[in-house]
Amino acid sequence: MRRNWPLYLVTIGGALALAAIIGTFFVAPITVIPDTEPPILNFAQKIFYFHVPVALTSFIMFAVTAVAGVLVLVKKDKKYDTLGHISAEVAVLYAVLTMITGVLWTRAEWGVWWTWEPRLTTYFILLLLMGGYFMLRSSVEDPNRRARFSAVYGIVAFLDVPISFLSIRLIQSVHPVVFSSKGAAMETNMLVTFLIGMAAMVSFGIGLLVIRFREEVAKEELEYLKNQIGS
Amino acid sequence: MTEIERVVDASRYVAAAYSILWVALVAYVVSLGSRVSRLQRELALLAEVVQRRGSEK
Repeated sequence: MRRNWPLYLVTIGGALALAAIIGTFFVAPITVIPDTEPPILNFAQKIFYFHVPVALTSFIMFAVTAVAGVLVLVKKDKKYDTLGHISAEVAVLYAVLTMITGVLWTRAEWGVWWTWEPRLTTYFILLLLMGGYFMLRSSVEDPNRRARFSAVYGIVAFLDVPISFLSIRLIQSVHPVVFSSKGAAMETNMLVTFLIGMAAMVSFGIGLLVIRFREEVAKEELEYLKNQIGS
Repeated sequence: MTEIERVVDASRYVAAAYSILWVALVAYVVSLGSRVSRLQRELALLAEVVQRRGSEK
């Protein structure tokens, strides 16, 4: 039971995701584009229920990379380096999915595939920074130096997360701001659907992170044992 | 563009977004699952080798 909890987390995430999909298409109403007469239905808004949870989960994973980086520098333990690059891998998976779903929403909503507005630009930079993280890792052979360099890089790259999050709140942008200090700009059934989707993506992400982490640790131990037997 | 045409047009992008999202996540889980089971097989093989060596001594 204790050993299998990440697997249960992934399963719960899958079940919650199914509930969120049902909520998205059968419970949450189709919104209308504001200030349109006659009102124009906004079906593309349905992308929001998974696009935002996936994006926020990517931010959580980037935060794990940065925290693991700090722990590498402070505690100098190899397992934090493993956690750092594994969380970066899951973060990139989620970030790529955020970009794809975002671009599809942009095309449906704004009629263009891409626009250089603050959120899209800062998020794109974040994705490029994470690409750089893996390039850095593959270019340094010494494991200790690789751990140190990527820890520092991961911490610096994380600085783009709050910039990206706050960009549309501080700079005038066409990107919608759904959650502000005034609360959530949506009806209760829409908010509940969104929160279920959020719980689904977070539990799915954490489950994947822990399973992937254990796989990496087991792989390293296996290599060590093989060398021991071989020598 | 009529209201129906607008919804049909948007639904193509919604369908694409949901399909890509779930195909990618499921593919990642399947690939992770197959790697973990391969690792378990290797570990079992290693345990067998260790056990055999132990009994030879």
